[in-house]
Amino acid sequence: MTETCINGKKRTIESPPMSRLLDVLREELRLTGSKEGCGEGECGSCTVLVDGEAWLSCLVPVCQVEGKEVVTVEGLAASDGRLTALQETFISAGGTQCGICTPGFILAAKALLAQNPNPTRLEVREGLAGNLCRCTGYSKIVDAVMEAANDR
Amino acid sequence: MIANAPVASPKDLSAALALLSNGSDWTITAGGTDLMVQGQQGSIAPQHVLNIWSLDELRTIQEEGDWIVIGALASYTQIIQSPLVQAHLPALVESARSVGAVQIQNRGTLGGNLGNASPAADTPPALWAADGQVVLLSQAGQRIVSLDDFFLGYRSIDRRPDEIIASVRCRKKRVDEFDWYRKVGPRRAQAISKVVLGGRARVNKNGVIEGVCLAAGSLAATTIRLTATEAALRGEALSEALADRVGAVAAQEVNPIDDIRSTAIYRSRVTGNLVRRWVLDLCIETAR
Repeated sequence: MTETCINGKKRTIESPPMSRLLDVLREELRLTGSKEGCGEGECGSCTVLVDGEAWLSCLVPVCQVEGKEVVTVEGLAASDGRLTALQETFISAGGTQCGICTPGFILAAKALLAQNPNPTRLEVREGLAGNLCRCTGYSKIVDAVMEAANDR
Repeated sequence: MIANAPVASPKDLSAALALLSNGSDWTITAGGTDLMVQGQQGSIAPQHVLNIWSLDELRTIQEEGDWIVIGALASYTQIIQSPLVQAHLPALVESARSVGAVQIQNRGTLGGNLGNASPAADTPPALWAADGQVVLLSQAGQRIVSLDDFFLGYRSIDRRPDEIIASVRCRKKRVDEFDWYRKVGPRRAQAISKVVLGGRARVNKNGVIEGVCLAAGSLAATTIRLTATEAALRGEALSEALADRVGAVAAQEVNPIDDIRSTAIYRSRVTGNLVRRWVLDLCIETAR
């Protein structure tokens, strides 16, 4: 069994230790915000934060988050449902359409802004190069991240 | 399914070495960026997984005289951000930046890149150009293998079952040396190479190449060294004519295959063009 912390809550994971973190999140914990796109580390839609770093949950055996802090998209909004600034700008800038890639983009962007609070557009594009979107054409996603950075 | 594979997560290196010597068939995993894909697709079914991700003693990056010693668990992100690697091994920084994107760079490790031994691996050409040596540890002690001897065949390396890749030693670039790295893939991020080259050249004040190492990926069953191209460069004065001549030697020397990522003819042509460009770049850089 794996002891870990998910979105601020201590959890004991029953799934076998080599289970993919993504499957544990979605199936054991019913946190279905993290999506499986490709399942092989190419698309970024399963991105979560582990101790603040962006990891691909489809490539993480759950035993490797023992004792660590995992944040999924469900862990971002306040308990009263108020969204974070980054979530708000994804909506206002039109950075989301079908929504499958959105949780991964938001977490990758959160990790990027934590490290680089005032990125250039190029730095945003580089920081999000591991996340694929087939709807927006990316520009509005970059707009959303730039707006969130400028609002802070 | 990889989910049901039995796994051991030793707390320190000596516990890991003890497990490796117990005769079981261990598959070592660090950040899992290769293993979890292969395991999920069913292309491998490990008997026993040895999870070494928490062995922090293998994460250090240190200076030892003329060498930089990089722990096998150093992630690409750690390599990109390391002031020591930035100062002394610029091509290795470039190679680490070319791996996947941020999420993969946070989890992929130098030891994993060598252990997985893909012929398309991004860092080995840069490591090899810096006289890279792999440090292997077992209960029997330490063994150091030069990259000249490390790759035995397709996905086969000189590592005994009881050994762990502990670190990689690379020689610091000297002031009269020039490091170079080029990766060609379908896209700049998140793509596997069609051709990848790493080189280091020592050029004297008369513009003559006194020493050179040039290594390449995606052109053979393993990362290889382009010895004929090196021979064509060694002792020669830098010039545009040399660039043309050596580019042709490189295109001729390699013998790649057609596969899902590229064609043999494209790979040979691009290799020649890149090497030619390297020599032209050296003409400019050394003139400064």
